[in-house]
Amino acid sequence: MTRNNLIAFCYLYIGGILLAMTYPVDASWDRALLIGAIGSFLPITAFALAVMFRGATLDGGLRATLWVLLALPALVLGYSRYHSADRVHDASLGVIDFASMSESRLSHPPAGTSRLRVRLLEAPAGELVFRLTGEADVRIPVRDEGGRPRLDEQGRWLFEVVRTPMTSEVIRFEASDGAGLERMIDQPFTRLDSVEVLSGGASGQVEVFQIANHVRSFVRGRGGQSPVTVLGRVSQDPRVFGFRTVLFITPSFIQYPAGGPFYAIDGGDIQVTIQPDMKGYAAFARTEATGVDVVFEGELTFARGPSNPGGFDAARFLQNNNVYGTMFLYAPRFGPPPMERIEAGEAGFRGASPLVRFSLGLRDDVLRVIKQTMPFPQSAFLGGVTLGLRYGLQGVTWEGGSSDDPSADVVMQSTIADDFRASGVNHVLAVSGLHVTILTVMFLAIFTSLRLPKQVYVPMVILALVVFAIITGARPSTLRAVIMNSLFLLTWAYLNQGLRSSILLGVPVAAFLILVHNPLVVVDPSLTLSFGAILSLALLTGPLHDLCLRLKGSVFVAAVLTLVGLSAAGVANWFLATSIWFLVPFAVSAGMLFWGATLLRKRGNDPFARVGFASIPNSISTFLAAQLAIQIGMMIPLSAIYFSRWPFAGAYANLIAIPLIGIVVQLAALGGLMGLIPVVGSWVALTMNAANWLGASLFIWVAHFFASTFPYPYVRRPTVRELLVYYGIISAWIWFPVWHGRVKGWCEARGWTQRWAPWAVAGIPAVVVAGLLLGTQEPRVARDVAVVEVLSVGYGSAVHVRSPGGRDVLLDSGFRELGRSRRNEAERSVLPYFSHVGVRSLDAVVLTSPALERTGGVSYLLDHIRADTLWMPDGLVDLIQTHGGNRGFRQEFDRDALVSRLVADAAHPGMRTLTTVLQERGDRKVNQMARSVVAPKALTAGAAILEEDHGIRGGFRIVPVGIGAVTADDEGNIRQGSALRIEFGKGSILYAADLTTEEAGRLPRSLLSADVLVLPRQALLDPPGDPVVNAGALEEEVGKWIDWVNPSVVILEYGFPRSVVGVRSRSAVDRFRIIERYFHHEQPEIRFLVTDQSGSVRVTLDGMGLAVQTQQERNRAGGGDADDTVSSMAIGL
Amino acid sequence: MSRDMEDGAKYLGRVLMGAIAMGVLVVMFHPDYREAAVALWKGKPDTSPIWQSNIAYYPEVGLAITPERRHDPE
Repeated sequence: MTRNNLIAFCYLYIGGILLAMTYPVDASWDRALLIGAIGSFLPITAFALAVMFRGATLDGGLRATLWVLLALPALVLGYSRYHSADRVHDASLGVIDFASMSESRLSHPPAGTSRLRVRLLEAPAGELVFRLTGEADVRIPVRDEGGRPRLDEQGRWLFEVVRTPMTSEVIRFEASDGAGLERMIDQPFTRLDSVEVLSGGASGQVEVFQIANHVRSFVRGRGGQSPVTVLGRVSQDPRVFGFRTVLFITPSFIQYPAGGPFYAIDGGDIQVTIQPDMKGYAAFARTEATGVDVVFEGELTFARGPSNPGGFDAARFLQNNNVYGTMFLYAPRFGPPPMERIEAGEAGFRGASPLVRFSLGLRDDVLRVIKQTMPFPQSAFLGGVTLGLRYGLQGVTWEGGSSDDPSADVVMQSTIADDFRASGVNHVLAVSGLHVTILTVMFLAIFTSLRLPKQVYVPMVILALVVFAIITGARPSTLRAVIMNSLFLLTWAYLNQGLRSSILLGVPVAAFLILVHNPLVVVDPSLTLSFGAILSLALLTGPLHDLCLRLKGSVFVAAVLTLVGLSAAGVANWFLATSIWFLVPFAVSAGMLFWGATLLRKRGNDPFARVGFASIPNSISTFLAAQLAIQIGMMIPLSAIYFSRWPFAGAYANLIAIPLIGIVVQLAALGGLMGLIPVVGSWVALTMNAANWLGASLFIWVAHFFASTFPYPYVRRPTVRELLVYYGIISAWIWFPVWHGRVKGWCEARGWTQRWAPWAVAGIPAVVVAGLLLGTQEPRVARDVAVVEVLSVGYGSAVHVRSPGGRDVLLDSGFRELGRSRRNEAERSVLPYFSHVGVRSLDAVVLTSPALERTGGVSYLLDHIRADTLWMPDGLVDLIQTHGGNRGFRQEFDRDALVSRLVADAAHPGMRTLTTVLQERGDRKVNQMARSVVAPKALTAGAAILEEDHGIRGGFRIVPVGIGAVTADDEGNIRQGSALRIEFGKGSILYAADLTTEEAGRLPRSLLSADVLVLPRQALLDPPGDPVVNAGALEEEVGKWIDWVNPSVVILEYGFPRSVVGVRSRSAVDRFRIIERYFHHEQPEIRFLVTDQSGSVRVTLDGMGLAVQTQQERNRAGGGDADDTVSSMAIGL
Repeated sequence: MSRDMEDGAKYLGRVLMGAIAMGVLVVMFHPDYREAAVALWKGKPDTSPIWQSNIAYYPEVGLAITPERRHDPE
């Protein structure tokens, strides 16, 4: 196999993985794929042997055959590897044919003790009732005097095994049951002996499956599940935060359910979160816990999929890292702690392997040196960039304050992590190629100065890189860099190969090795951003550099002026820089500038003839081209995909950040290692890190400066097809000389010698393919219908309404918390959702009430998206008009958080409030050009917010039906409710917002009657006055709403209320439970949906009626976890 | 390549010497670094303001390695 074949094989393997993601198959393909994966290597092997023995040379047809034979195993291997890693497969034990019991083929005995399920293959003629009998090996742990399970000295868990006769529960199928119906068998079996038919049995076929003893088979939805006991081992370095520690545990046995049998686990890890109040916490919140054996008990749950379209998929993220279950352990008031370490007999506590122990010990030693020689928060920055300890930077402001302190001015400051993200320098915290290369160069320089031959020291450098990878958590980006650098070092030391050849080979080989180990990380940002960066550098820098070298004289000056002009516009007003009313005149001006510059050069009187890109020193110009390459090849498309945002500042900030980080990391590594030398080392480390303090401080300041100067805009998230077209265009440009030359030769051979011929021959099919790819995409939001997406934003509201005419309205903007967690739903949920569905401007934003859970995010929202009109209840309009702009206003509503968030805050005069935003977005020339004027309007009952006529399907309109009175509660909070109706033809939704029940009772029933009711949250869960809950009164109140509205679907926008309603949260939780119980027991025919559980709720109105779909249902349809991964297994033995 | 490596070694040496020179200046003029140097000289690194500022940062990594340093709630 040649080098090119190897490169192609690796890329085709990745292609196979992408195929498996795009076109997955079910478990029935397991065996075929396994045979296919093995079998596909036979032709290429036979071919290679034939070529070798016959001594044939590979040319023409043979070469083409080789490529085809190579592509097949690579694709099949990639496909089957992803297929096997992505799914947990239950093994089929055979088929029971009831028509001919003698032909039943239960040929495969269960492998170990496990649970079973049966699937109906062929429906019986009548009722079929049977049960399975056999035996189970039941494990009973050997316990010590304290009652804890014991390990032997080799670290094996000790059990007494008791063989017990086992009979399954009765299994029943009806004649009406369709093929594919499944029944779970709660009992464990180690051996199946017979099938006992209790009724029927003349016909029907069922297949028996052994449920895999994978962690995924034992997880359940959250909320009052039976706890399970786990015997396992801490598999990674614990992640220690200030207020919790996260452990990753590989389980060996799980007792499921409580009091049931212990199953030997054959796959999946569990993420366990413990808190400092747990007895023995300190023993787990440290590196030494890695590798320790543990026993723990708790509720084993699965992580949630995305709550909103385009939201973060925690379940997928964890599964990509082999974590299939999560557990939160709470310290009990009495009794033993929920997690304990177990000693391996006389051998004591086990730990990690010697190499891992050494690496993590070295990390702690270096961290100790950093803590002694670098003040906080620079120390946290240094720990992040050299040791991968990025969690230390969470919640830290650039001046060293902590967001844990809500009373101080730090609530106004962005955190370092925010600054790094917004300025586009966050990549320095993802330990990757930059760091590994810096360390490689540093080690090489040290060894070269010692005059050692490279063949001797290269293995030592590779070992050091492996240790570094372990220290930093062995993330895909680090592994990629270590593998690539190791390949480079090996080829350089032993084969005398150059750097470029090493990159071209190293990138695919590194990707292949990482994806063979775990193909699920193929979409992990750590992997794709890392590979995107290195491929951009390798493939795009050269062509971009060559292109820039053409910029000479006045043309170069014109290019610089254009770039500066556009950037300045973007910094001054992002809406302006993205407005067509600005871009077209700007493009015309730039075009004229270039035309004039070209004219000057042609006439030979160019005043700037001596300047140009070529006059920049080569190292700097290459660096500039590399930065441009990374922006085009990686940052712009992939940042939009993963984060819905583009760090505009990154292109400039990295010009300073990258050279600076090179110095900082080298000094930190040298200082950290020298600090380990006894006595003198501390002094050297102190001196070196004193110098590094300047670098670290400058870096943090640079990030803060760019983050606070440049915008960090939300951008439309591209689809996979759009990404394909984008990279297709870039590839066509990179390899222009190759394809153009070949196509030109092909055209000339046919006598087509025109200059445009190659363009036409290659371009027309390319445009057709791109057109098909883009033109046949599913619309992001359904067209010609009204779509109402009630978003899941915790205890708060945000509802997106897309009219049948394609106009967009947002009802409420979610909650924003300034305290510890700095939760901002506009940033976290609403704007990423708009990015996902491609909404870049809104026709209107409607605030239905002054309640913070509806208005908190509005200023942030308006800072990041265009909105023509802002509708507000008159109480809020009055407040802003009367007191807006008076930054000292803190009297009348002194205790009202609303005032400080929306109107003015004397404590934080720099805070961006709604008043500030509205003043900036007034009806001025620049805002008109930017299309960013926001017109505030008062909500009045009956005045339509949006109205469209759709002929026979009826009218669409959003109209306020009730505006409540302005009141202030005992705590000084302003309250004013309102309710909106959304109608399209025969379908309608009542968005009750915060209208009180009393106020709603005064409205005509015709205005209230609707198919869907979004419950008034504040009125029901957080009413003013006595927080004591009267269940009967609350049920009666909800009952009134149901009587008036008569809905078939009721939606409650509910999440954890403490951050919003503070001390009244307990009352809100109690009230929620009463309401939930009321609907389950008293109104079972009404579909009751809670956004916290079901995710966002989409109501689609087509004029004739409506359809409701939850995000949870969409997650399931997309292959995500369901609540009933294994159906109700309440009993064991 | 070897030539590059040798140049790299010289560059690294220059960076190192420059850093130490710069570091000495910072230790002389930055009060926290000055006090940290004094604390180191006195053999009391835990009194250094730099160490103090890092108390809450990865608290499990202390000055001396003791397996059960933290107080567990009993």
